[in-house]
Amino acid sequence: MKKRLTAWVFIILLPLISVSILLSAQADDLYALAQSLPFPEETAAVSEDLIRDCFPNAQRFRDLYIELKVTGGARLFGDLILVENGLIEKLTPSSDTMIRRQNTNAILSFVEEGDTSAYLMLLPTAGAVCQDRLPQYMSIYNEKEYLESIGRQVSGRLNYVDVYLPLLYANEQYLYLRTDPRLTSLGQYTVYQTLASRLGFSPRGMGQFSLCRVPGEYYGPLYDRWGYGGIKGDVVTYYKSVSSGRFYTVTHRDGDQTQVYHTLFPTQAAVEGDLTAVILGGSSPMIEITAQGADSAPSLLMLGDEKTLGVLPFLAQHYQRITFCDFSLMTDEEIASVSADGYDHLLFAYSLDTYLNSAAPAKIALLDNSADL
Amino acid sequence: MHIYSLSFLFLFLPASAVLYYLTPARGKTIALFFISLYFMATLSLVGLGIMLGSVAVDYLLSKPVYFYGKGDRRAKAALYACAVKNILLFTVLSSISQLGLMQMPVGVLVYAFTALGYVSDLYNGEIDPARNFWEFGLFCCFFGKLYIGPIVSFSSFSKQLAARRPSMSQISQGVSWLLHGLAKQLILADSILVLAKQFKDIPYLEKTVLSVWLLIACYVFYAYYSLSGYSDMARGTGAILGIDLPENFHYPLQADSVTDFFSRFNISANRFVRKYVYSALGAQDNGRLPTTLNIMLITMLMGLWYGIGLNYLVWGAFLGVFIVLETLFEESFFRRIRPFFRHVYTFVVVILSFAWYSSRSISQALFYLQAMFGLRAHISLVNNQCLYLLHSNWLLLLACALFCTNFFSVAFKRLQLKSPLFSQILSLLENLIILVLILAFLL
Repeated sequence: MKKRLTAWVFIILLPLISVSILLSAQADDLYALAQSLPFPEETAAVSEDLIRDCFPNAQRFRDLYIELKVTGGARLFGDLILVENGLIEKLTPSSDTMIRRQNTNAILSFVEEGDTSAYLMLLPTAGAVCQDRLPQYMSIYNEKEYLESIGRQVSGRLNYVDVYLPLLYANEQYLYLRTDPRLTSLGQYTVYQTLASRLGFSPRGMGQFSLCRVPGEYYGPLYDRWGYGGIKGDVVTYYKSVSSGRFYTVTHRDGDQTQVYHTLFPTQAAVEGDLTAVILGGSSPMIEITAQGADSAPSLLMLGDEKTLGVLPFLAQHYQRITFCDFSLMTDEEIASVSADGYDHLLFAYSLDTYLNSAAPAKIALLDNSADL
Repeated sequence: MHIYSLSFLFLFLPASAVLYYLTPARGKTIALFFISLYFMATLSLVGLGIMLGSVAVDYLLSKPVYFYGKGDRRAKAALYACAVKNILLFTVLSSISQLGLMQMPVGVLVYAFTALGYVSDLYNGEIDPARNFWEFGLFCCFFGKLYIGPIVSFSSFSKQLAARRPSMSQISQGVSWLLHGLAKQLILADSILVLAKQFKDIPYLEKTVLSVWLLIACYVFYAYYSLSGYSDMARGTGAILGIDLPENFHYPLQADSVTDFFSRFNISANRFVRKYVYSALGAQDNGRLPTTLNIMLITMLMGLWYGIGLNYLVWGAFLGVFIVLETLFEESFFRRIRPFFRHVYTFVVVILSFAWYSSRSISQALFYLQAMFGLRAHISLVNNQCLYLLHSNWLLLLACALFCTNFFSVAFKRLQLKSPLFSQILSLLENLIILVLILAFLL
């Protein structure tokens, strides 16, 4: 018997796919293809893009690719690590070690010029805290070692807050979001407990908060970068104080624009934006929190990033006034216009990712520190 | 547009096939020649210019060779001119591309040496000349075989052009070869190259014995799947268009001697070198020393086939040494070894040889060889980095090891004999699954 079956099936199948690609293509794309015909190299590139864009059920094939890779043992896709219950961003420190040195030097110089209690907290990534969830034998950047070295380096010049160990001890819990490199409310609370103690306060117990849940599932930036599905969404929760008797005003400043919320947890912001915006209304270059009903409580200037922002609602229980600045979102002029004058505490709170790879912390040198803190 | 692209599979190939089959028999050669030119134009217009120029010069040089015949000094001069031109063309373009001044145009090696073989055969009176430029052009530039060959003789190619009657079973076989070639290239070769780079990127001080063995094994698999993938694609496109091209790689990693490996690895290139260099040297009749020197010359030339570089030359020489030893001690020693150990010996020698093939310099190759035997100071057997790469690519390595044997091919042939219908259905299913997998990797 002659082998004809494959020939017939493919003679029908391949042109059928080609026709369906051409039929589903936009008129503009076909026009671009027609225009490229006199230039064969360009035709090849244009037609390749057209097929990739218009191929029937292309996403399913892309998903299959990932499934095959995962079946074959692969867990690292770009800088995303696929773990049992989510995604973890792999921290790759910049090879330019000047960045981290400049950040440390700028912070130390700034602190030495002032005369107040300054604190430095560096938040480890999920990869370092939840190492037991990483693929077998995967080696990652030794964050613990770096954090210990930075602790020794700044010792005696400012107060270093080590949150790595508290997080590590609690690492079996839901500390980091599955689809976002940020902390969950429980992770924020864990950090808060250590941070508040170091800042000289008695941390509030869990019983003094009620746990609230934002309706819906949250799919964060890691999920968007992943793009292949198969990952469970996150549950966004927040801890709301039940007995403080305080009223908060949260003011976001972004250039000339100002947004004011009269709560630490503006649920309407979560409805309008992403679910995590329920915490203070999301991230902004500058956020000011003022508390009414607090008698002669201290004030705090926190310089940080969006990954450490979540700890502020907890700290707000202890301060009358908090100013948060994210230098990565501010212009040099805006940074220079911020005054460090009149604050009782100065807290540098960055994620390790920002500290190792971004020069934003070093912009503290631009800040007005003429008056004593 | 490469032969392993979506645009080739879903636009160029169907359109070419339709155009080719709709063209009357008299015009098919011209049609296929122009289709090949268009394919080359989509890759590089500069490459197209070089190819056309080279083929035109070779065609002109072939005229006096045929006209004056063997022994005439004008014919000899034309033959030498053709040889020098083609060797220079390949050497110069290869060197320029290694210097990073220009990308090596696809197909130089194939059309240059195909034409050289043609002119040489013509000089020796072994073939009749091409009927016209189109036939000669198509013989040298058929788009399917531009990447790695196979390099075919003009007599077998021209016979097929004269009697082109593609059957549905030939097209079935062509589709199957094409898909197998694409799978080898896209699923195995590309993935194993990524893994090889990951092993290579391990800092020198952190390299282990196992990681270097795996690195070199990855390069062996890459070379095999990439080169044989291109050859399968060439056979596939050829068969779809009614042209039968010979097998170029016959499970070389299953060879039971280095000589056997050499004869299964790039068969057509091997034949070319044997026919036009080895036989011309009359090696078989000249005694031990000349035979040894000729084998070394041939293997080193075969090394240079893959690129102009000292590493390729040493790769060829390294294998050559083992071929010489096997030739000298075949009866007295080699044939007495059990087949299993012969396979193991061959595989190990091939892997060791690829330490040269895959290195950028002699010092790097020596580092790899020392590391493979734990001869470097403080080198450990294995570390977490190596185990992680092994753990996260186990399926790929397993697939590479399995598909380089003829296990599935033999099993399928047995099934074909027992149940032809079932084997046809199974073959169709296999091809559809391969298409889906290829699309997953292409999209």
